[in-house]
Amino acid sequence: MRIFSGLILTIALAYALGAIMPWWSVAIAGFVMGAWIDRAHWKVFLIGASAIALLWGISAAAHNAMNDGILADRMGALFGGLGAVSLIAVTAAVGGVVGGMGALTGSLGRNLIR
Amino acid sequence: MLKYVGFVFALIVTIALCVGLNRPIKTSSSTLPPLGSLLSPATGFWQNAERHRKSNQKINLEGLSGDVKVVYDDRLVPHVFADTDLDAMRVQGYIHAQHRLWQMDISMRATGGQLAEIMGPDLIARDKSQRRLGFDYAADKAVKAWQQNPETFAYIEAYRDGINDYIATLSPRDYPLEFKLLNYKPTPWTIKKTAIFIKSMAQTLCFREDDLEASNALRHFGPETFEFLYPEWNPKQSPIIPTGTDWNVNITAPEEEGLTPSKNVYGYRPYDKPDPFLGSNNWAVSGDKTASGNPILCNDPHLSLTLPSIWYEIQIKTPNMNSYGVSLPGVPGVIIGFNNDIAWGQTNVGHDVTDWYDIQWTNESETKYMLDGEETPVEWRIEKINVAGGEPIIDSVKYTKWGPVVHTEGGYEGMALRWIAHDITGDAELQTFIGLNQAKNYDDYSEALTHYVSPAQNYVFAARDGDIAIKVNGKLPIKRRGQGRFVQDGSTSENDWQGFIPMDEVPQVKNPARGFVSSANQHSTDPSYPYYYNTEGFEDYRGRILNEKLSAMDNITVEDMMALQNDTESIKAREVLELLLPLVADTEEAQRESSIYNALSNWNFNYARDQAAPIFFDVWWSTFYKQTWDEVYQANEEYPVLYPESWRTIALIEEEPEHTFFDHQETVEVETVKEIAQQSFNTMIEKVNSMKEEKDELRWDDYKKTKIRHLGQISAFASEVLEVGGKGDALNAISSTNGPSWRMIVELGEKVTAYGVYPGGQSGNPGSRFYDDMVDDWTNGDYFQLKFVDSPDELATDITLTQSFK
Repeated sequence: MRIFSGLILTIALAYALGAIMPWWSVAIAGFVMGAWIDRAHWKVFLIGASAIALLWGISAAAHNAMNDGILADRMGALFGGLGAVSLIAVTAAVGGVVGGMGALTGSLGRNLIR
Repeated sequence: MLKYVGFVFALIVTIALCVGLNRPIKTSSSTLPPLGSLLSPATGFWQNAERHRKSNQKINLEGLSGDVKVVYDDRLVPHVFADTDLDAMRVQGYIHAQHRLWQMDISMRATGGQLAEIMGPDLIARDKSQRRLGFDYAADKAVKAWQQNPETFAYIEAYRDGINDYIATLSPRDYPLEFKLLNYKPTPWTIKKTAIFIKSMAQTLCFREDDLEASNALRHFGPETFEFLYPEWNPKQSPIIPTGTDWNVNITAPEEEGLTPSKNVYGYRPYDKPDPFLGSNNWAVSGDKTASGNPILCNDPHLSLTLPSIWYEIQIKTPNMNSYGVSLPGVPGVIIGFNNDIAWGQTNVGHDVTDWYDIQWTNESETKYMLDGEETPVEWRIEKINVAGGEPIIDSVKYTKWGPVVHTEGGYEGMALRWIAHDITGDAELQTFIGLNQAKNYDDYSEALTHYVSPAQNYVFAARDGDIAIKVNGKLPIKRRGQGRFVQDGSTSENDWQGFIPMDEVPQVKNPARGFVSSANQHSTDPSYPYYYNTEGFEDYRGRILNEKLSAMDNITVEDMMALQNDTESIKAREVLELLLPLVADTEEAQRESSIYNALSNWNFNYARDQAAPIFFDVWWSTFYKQTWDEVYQANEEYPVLYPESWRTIALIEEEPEHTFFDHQETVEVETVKEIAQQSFNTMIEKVNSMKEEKDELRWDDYKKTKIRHLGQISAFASEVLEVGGKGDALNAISSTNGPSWRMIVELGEKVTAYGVYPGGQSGNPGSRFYDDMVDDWTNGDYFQLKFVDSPDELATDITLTQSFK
């Protein structure tokens, strides 16, 4: 259950911060969740990474769907011939790594004050 | 201890990741935007993926005098309904910015020399060159002049305010995509930016000169050969203003300038000149020649093909006017269009209004120069060029009586530039367009045109009351015969322009007997026009074919006019093949390659997209031309020398087939036109056969490769290679990079009906379905009926977006 709450917390926080802060606020969202949740570090990393990957992946996919893929085709060409799906995957992966590292840092920080 | 190490390590990696992804990535060839912010769906490019749904927006603009309603039709063309002209201009600014902000910014920067500010040190040299050509200087002067006329100035201010109203609504996530990719922010619009944009049109349309090439050619070949190779008048020309028109000019013919070769040799320019194949067609036919009895006006300005497109379609309705047409993002009003009573269009005049003067320095530091026997100090202008990621560059530019001393790395040494675009522009320059938007008849059109300065344009006109007219309009310098063809001596005021042709003496004609007026960048007049004017290379073929076809037409319909705008027939191809084909008919090669020979002899001279004959002709002709003028090509290896015009080459084939220019001096044999024709025909066959090895089918479009490039050279945002025919000297003048940037046909009946299309779309956003939605229609020669309406309700079913400004 904790894992699920962690996921939701990270997504909600990242979404809220994203409206007022630069893109790297996803690392902060991951950090807060990581400092709060009590699980093995590698699990916390995965929760943070999945949360942001989901957030970025799903919103990219939603933008893409409402746009009929017009922009993804062009941006994909700019990135050396990626298709829309690959572009969404790259988006999710980059967000995921940053969110996951934020979460891992939070988790290791929680470890310090235990 | 270990847990501290682990934490610190993770923290450092996280921060490094964020910082790394937040920095532009420099590669050897380009700078990539920060990947983190670009990919983030909350801030990055995904935000520019436009949703496709109908919407209704309310927008608050402080200080509007009434409500303004804007409805966008099914092609995203805005129809603006406002209570006052000022409100309309303000909202037009908002709309231009909303759809074309990045285009406005980058076009202005490219002209004004402000690219290094966003793209870094690599662009300093280009910026410097633009500054030294005086664009920033000219824009400052224009703004000062505009301020003298409060009424017109208020329009420009309202327009600027509207742009800034829109910019103020933007947070970084909303920035147009190219700002994100180039990693910079929009800055507030200013009136000077509008002035710079207008100067960019001058650079495109009236900056072309061949003074350096002509001077070198005169020196290289001597006066006699020069006159033989480069005559100014093509006897077959069909001028814009019909022969026999009363010029209404009372001057004594200007004195002749002798041909004196200069001592100097001029090197190559640091940058390319404007493309010689930029041109345009316009015409109007009177009701006597149309099936409906209504006048019809047509215009297709040929410009460099870009995405976003240079034009933006708009309808503006206020109690003073109801005008529809295309506008230039950065400039208020409709530039080419129509209203309930009249229609107007433009083509480029092309007279030489760009002259170079040799400066005689009188001191070593080159701060004083000789003028009328006196040492005269230069004036200085300081240009500050901001540089992204570096210190600003300060460039001091010398100004002489003539204009700036342009001398940049690798060109224009010791020369000053006299250019019309540097002149005081007239305080009410933009009154031209406001006046045309509101004009009701010929007199209003004439009055509006008196405010126009440059780039000079052939303004075609038709009115519902039956009048048609055309005016070669703009500030045209008065010159001695021959003056300004060559680089001139800048040490005497005598070499200055002798004033300007009065506006009522410029070439013009109203309701000519032939029942139509037309222009296609050819000579404005026949040689009987008393004032001297020149350009190396007026268009020689489009004007002729246009007048030929219009003269032969009767009972004209809108569909006929559409066909004419899309006509790909070339007189040049016809004339050349009639002369050259007989010379190769009996050769062994022509017999052996009968498919190629027959394709050429059966060709109807149309540059149709699926034909192979145009390829055979083009390869043959360009090879023939190069072999004929090998002397000129050799000279060009050292310094720029003028190339003879096509028509001159054709005349030489016809009149002097054994002229020594056809002989290759380095061979023992004496070649005449026959040998050159056969040699070049054989070269063509070799080239074509090697093309055939790579391709199953040879097609003109595939060979020509017309492409609409992206303004920022991002190839992913450019068009594919288009399956389109056409050629620079045919009416449908589509080359690989240029073509009709707007095709418009207006029938002035009881109710005005109009058709148009341009190679692009209303939105400048590559993430919008309106980015390039008209390209296929344009390629196929199709048109849209323009929705010229009286009220928003008439558009009910087609509305894609509604905006209410309060």
